[in-house]
Amino acid sequence: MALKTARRDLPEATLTITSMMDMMTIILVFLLKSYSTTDISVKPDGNLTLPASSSTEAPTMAVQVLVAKNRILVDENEIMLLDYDQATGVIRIPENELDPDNKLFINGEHSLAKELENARITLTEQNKSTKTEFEGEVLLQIDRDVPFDVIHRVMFTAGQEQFGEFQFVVIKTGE
Amino acid sequence: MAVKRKKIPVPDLDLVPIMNLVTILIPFLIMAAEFIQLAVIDSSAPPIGKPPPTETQEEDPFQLIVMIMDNGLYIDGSRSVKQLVYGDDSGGASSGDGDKKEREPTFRCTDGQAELDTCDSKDHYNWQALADTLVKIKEDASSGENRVEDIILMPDHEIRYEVIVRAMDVVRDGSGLVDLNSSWRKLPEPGDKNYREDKAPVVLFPKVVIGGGKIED
Repeated sequence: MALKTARRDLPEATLTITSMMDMMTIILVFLLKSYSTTDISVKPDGNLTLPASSSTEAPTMAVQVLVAKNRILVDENEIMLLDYDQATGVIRIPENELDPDNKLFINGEHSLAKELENARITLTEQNKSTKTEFEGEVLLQIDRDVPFDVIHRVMFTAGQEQFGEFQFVVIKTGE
Repeated sequence: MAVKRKKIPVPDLDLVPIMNLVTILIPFLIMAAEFIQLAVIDSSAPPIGKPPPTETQEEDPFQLIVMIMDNGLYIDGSRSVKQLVYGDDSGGASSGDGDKKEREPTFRCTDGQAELDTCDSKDHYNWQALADTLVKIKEDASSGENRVEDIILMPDHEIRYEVIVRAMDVVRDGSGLVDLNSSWRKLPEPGDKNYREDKAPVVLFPKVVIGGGKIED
């Protein structure tokens, strides 16, 4: 005798996603609050830790000069390496990178001055089409342990290439 | 006759389209999220050479310099600044003779309890004393429309960047160490002859110029 097994129509399983919606909504609200509208970004770098500051002024677009513990970059292009002793924490600009006639001017083997001059020429050309003036602004992202000796030379070199307005990038501690 | 009420089944809300939208938005927002907020401190390069002579040349034009040394902070500047800080034009004590003469810091390094020979961290500098003194200098130098806002910072060559940033915070607006909202510092109200349209916030010396090298006697 064949067993007639009654076919039972199993009800369709529905996924309860209400709790997932709750989680997604909270994450969405948090991310909307963290949404950034600035063009300035700091790429994670083991040798770049920005100092904290109470300043609340927003950065504006400018030529970016990054001075990490071991290297200097201009607009994300590595220009030169620095002498960084991890044991003592001493950071120096190599002697061959300095101008022999003026030790404040970084115009040696890899020439930060030349790179800044190229950036200035590019900006001047761009400004011609938009009929705006060259502002001479430079964004300096500097590691907090870099001595003033290095900063002074970078600022002097930038000044020689007509970049006289410096924006020191810092981490905002609070309003 | 009894009326049978039909039970109308309540349809479940379909959350799938909303989930689709949220699932696409979240990766986009994660890429654009800023978990560390950045700010900037403006500064200018020091001018080269003497300023052009003006018709009304002041006898003692205001100049304020803060030197950051490894053993403390030193305040220098015009005669009026030195008179206020040191009581005379000498510019404070100095040690050594001849070429090795060095200025004694106006505010020595301290760990909060005792003075230290060198400042090993930015917290060893006496920022409170500096802020209090800058407030007095600002009070003395500002009058009516004359708002002095320029300051020169001169760090020693071994001073680390985070110390310089801390100094800039303190000289610009006191960095929370001083109350800039007491009665004499309140912004003038409309109708007052000193009222300014821009309603600039009360600050100390926001125009910071970073210079290099020590000032020699």
